[in-house]
Amino acid sequence: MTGMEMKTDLDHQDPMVVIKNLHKSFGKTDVLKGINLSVWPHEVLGIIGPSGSGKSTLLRCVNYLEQPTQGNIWIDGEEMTFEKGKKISHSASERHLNRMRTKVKMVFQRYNLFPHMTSLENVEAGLITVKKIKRKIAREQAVTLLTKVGLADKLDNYPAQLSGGQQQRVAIARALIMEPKVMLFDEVTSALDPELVAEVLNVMRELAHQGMTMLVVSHEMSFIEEIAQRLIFLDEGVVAEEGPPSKIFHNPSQERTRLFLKKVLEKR
Amino acid sequence: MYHGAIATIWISFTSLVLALVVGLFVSLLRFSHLLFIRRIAMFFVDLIRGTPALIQILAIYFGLPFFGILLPAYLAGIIALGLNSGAYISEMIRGAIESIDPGQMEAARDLGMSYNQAMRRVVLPQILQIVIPPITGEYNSLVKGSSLLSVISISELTRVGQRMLGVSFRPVESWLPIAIIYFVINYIITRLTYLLEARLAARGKK
Repeated sequence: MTGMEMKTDLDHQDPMVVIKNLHKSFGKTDVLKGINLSVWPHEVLGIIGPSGSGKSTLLRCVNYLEQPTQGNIWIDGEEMTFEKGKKISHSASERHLNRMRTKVKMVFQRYNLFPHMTSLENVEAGLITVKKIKRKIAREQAVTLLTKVGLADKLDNYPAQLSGGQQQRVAIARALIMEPKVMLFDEVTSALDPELVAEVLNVMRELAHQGMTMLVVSHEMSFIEEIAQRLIFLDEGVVAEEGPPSKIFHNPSQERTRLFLKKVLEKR
Repeated sequence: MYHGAIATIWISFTSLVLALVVGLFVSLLRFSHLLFIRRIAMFFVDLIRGTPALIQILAIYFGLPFFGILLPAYLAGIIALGLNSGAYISEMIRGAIESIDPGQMEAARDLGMSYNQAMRRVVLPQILQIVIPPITGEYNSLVKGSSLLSVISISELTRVGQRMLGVSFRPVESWLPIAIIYFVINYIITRLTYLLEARLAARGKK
């Protein structure tokens, strides 16, 4: 315990997330083939790459929705090691995972709001069920956050009554209320109608300005270029190129990055 | 006949309650991370589905005393019907759980909920609307299936019909009213669950 307290003094110097030699395979298919990556506090890291390159899998390994086949992941000083062929005991890993998960929150492509709960109930669910906070206090916080994402007038609406953009903003508020250290965004605008994209990006931009550490997988290239301090280009399960967005977008060093960007940017 | 009807209603209702408990429990076992628990649950369902309900009733009523467990006929009957129906209900619940978008479980786990919390707060509330129609059907067959308990001399409706026949030797006059009572009980159950479904649907749209 004391060791951990000492560490908090150094927090601003330590990376928030460190990923070492991360492998993930589904059956015989290797999706991630040795990812090494550090993310610094308050940094926004953009992750781009062709479909099937492992972007989503990488994010899902960081919050353990997928169990890595091999490798290490540190989040805010806590470590999780995965060794090939070795299974972590179910209850031990469950406890560890739940603790690690308090530090990371994910926003999903398809929002994944709970359809039987109102916006307010969706946002306060984590506080009430996980943190055991009294409903009244949880509700106040939920109202504040929903107001912040511009949904003060939709508190009692069910997800089915909201537009995609509104649902995604509820989902962001639901993640934020848990006060994560790191937020993962997994193509959060790609299921949205074009005219609804901006309202979600605005919320993310605001978060970035407030200093949230963010890993952003997205196809919104201009948005990534604007908010990310650093970009990685993922291809066939490896980090093919890494650097500031301005360099990668305008002067990529790898041929495959150039080809990918050409295809993506042509589309617009 | 009045007492027979009451017995049928009472037996089928208590069996349903037991079946719901058994069904939920067994369906959750089907999702256990331990293979042998999943196997046991599966074997239970296969066993019940693969043998006639009549034999299950007889097995419990006449078989358990061999192990020193003596149950009154009523209790043995309710347990037999509850286990039988519970196996079928567990399959309905399992199907409903599997029909829920896996993203729901993922979002709940991402929030930090344990598997059990996610099941209770997120997944199970969503299956309610899905399982009510098939469970109503199961309730209907329980009402009819309770007639099997006549073989262990419980005086439910069918047993009453047999006795009436034994006295009067008039099959039509004995069985027709019995059939009508079964029909009325099931008709009422079905209508009541329609009301319940409409109410749940309204809650979601509010």
